[in-house]
Amino acid sequence: MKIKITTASLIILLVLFGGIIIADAAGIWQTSGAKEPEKFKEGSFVGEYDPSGIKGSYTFAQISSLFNIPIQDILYSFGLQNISGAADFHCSELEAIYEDAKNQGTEIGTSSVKLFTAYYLGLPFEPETDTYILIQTYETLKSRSVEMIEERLLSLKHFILYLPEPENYISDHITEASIEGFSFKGSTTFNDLSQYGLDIDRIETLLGLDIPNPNQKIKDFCDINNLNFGKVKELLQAEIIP
Amino acid sequence: MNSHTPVISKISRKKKAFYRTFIQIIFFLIIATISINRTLETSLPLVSKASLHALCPFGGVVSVYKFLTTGTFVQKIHGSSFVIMSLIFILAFLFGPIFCGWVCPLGSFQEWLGSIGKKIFKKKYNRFVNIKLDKVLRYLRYIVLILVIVNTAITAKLIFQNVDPYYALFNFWTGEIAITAYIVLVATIVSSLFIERPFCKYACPYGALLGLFNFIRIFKIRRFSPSCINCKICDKVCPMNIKISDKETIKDHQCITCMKCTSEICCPVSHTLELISIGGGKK
Repeated sequence: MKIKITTASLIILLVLFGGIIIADAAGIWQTSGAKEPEKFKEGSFVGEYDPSGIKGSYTFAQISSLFNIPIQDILYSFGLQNISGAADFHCSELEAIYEDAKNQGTEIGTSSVKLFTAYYLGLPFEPETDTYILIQTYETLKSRSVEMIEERLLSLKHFILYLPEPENYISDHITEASIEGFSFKGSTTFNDLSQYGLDIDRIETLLGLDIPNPNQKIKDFCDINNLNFGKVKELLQAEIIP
Repeated sequence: MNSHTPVISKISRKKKAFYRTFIQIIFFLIIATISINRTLETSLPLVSKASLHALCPFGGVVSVYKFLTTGTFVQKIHGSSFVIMSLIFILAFLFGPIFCGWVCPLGSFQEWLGSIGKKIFKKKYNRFVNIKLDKVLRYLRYIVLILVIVNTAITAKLIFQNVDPYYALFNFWTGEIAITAYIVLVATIVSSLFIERPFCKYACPYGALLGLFNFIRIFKIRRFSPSCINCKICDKVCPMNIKISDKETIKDHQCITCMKCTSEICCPVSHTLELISIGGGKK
């Protein structure tokens, strides 16, 4: 049997695109990770989620749900209890939130979340030698009466960071929209809002300030004018999504 | 010349050659668009937000060990990589590494750069590397393949990303690229001006794996020697420098099934070089 170039072309397209369509229909075409860490396969915790499988893309809300840890405990432990929408932050965003720690050669990040989760629940976990935690994390863990907690916390004392709680942080991952196509992010400009019916005059009235440049990012405008971006966002968003 | 001499017009040959170019362009644009879309604040309509890792068939290959031992994928790899890997294996079982010759955007990119090299160096293009050295270097990609698979199995991380010119090409603006990957990309770009598909020939681990299918594939490039006029055009046009004119069946591990050598495109004699199934040769 001979295969001509035209036939070869068709077979390539058919196999690749057809295969993907079939895989998608069968539910095996997944281009992002399942939000479930691996489970312990041996020992006394068989069947429970292993905190070392937590990925940077997990949100705090997902960790709370997967490991059955109250979200308030998680947010307090990472100094985020006063930040709007923090439950939906990805844990990898801690690195950006505590950028100063990173600049000083330490880091609060996903590994800190893994350690917190494991120690909080008394699950087996071998932290990397340079895993740091916040003092708030230490306090939460200390208040837990979990087996081995004293011994574990003793080994952490040199890795506790006393960092100021962040006043605000805007996640690029969060879409807080309930109308189609609207997404309020750190990069949203005043002009972006006008596309959704909130004109510049109305925004100026709401904020009580002139907006010299409608193309300016709202976040930058807030920084310059010492406004709390979280509150401004809520105010403006309420106008778009009543 | 015998009765088999040219019957296919130049226009028809060009038209047929364009089928492959067209498919190369489609896949290059798909990957480029998806990659750009990921970095946009607002997604393009109907375009996937998938990462390139999720669409990389080699990601599936390096994940096989972890999947078999733990039931999970290597970091950044997802079910889609396994799906694409399987589909390309089906194609490879039929036609060998046709993915390399028709689909792989990095292969196409090198090929397009090569057309500049051809204009500069004319007949010398793709003939710079000493034949003996070239023969040895062709096996380098198998060493790369083994190193990548073993180290990925040990670390469970996508270590090839740090030297992957494909990932660097489609993400060079993102700041996510390791300096080593930039170096490999630049080396690939520069050497493509002298050598056709240098990364495919000497370093691509996925090409190495798919190359093995050339020994078992169902449809092979076959040369019908009674009608061959021994013009050796097939040897000259082969991007992988395979000496086709002295073989009945092309089983070379480097063949990428680009079909440039066939009677539909370059071979001047009709029905002399064709893609034919096992046992489908001339009587």
